[in-house]
Amino acid sequence: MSRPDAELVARCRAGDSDAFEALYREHSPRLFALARRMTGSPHESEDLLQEIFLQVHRKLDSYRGDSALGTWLYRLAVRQCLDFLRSRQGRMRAASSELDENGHYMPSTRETPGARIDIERAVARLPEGCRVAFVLHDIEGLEHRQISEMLGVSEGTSKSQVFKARTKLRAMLK
Amino acid sequence: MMTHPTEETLNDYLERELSPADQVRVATHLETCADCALVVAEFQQVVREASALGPLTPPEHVWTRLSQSIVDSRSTMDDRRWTRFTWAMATAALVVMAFFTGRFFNQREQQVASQQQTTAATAVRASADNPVVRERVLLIAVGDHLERSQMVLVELSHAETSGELDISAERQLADDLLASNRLYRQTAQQMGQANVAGVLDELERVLVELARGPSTVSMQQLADIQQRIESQGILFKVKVIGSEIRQQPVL
Repeated sequence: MSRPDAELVARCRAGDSDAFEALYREHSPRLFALARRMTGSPHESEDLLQEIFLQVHRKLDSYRGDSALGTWLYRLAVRQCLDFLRSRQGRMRAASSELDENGHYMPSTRETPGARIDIERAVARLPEGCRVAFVLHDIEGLEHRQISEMLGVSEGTSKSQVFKARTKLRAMLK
Repeated sequence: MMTHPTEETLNDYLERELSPADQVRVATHLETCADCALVVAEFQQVVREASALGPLTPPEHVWTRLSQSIVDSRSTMDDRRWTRFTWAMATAALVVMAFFTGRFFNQREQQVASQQQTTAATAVRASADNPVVRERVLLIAVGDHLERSQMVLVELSHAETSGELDISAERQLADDLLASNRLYRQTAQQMGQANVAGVLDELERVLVELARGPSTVSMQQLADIQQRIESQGILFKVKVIGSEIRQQPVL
């Protein structure tokens, strides 16, 4: 654990709310981006980010400094995102998104037909299964082995989901 | 010229997942096939754009809500801890008081057996110095205590995790139960309730371990806890004693 991290964590543990805000300001952009892309929903990602940092607040006592604070936060956030997506609430909301029952992209009425959408919005429109694998692999840079462990699937499934996502994105970004 | 590789093969080529011989074959094909080269270029563009995506600043209201939630959770947690602790200690203290009050009246009765008793004192003594009543008071309190302990053990026995698991709530509850468990065990021993005292003794060791343990456990640590609960048969014993107590008739 670096000295600034150690000091920040010690202050947070002592109940210093300014220190916790500093921790939030420093790390929330990366974790918000993760939550935003994993859920594909601006509204849900805000709720999820709040839940992630509530967990951080509760669990900071268990942080032993074996890894960098950012790494510890990131792992916690990934687990929280996956838990969220596994939850019934997450599935119900995903079912009402702009994907058809086969997970195919259905253009929003706000979009101009034929207009090229950017990658951020295109990722949000991927079916949940391949979106998660794509976010973790192509955006977050995790190995298929790590993703397979996190998702409880084989490496082959992780690879095929990333391929599926790339194929859909290629079509959306043309 | 080879037939066109599938898009999946082109993706694997990009990922360098093909055998060396196939990598060379596809590379050779791409030099002469504009269609396949375009597919690869488009896959590359997707990967390039995705990897360039950066952090996103969350809206300010997320922090506002979060900071308020933290304030709320702090006060709720403090209230819960205090309520649980005072409730457990008050119940335990009442049981112990009932027990010792009974003993006091027994001793006093032997010393002043010839003295006349008032009607009120008789009424009090009738219940307090009756060993059956005292035993029943203890068992009712212990039954409730065992039920709450059982909830903690069941929760941990059924918990699952693939990474780390927050057991801070169970840890806190174990800590709260520990103090009353000691009082009940000592009282049960003094009353000659060997079975109850024995189970409380075994339960106490598990509660100590949980209360002194980490608030977050790994998959292996959780498995160790579950193994200890199972190997000692403590959950079964707690259930049996708790069930026996509940089945006893109310006096």
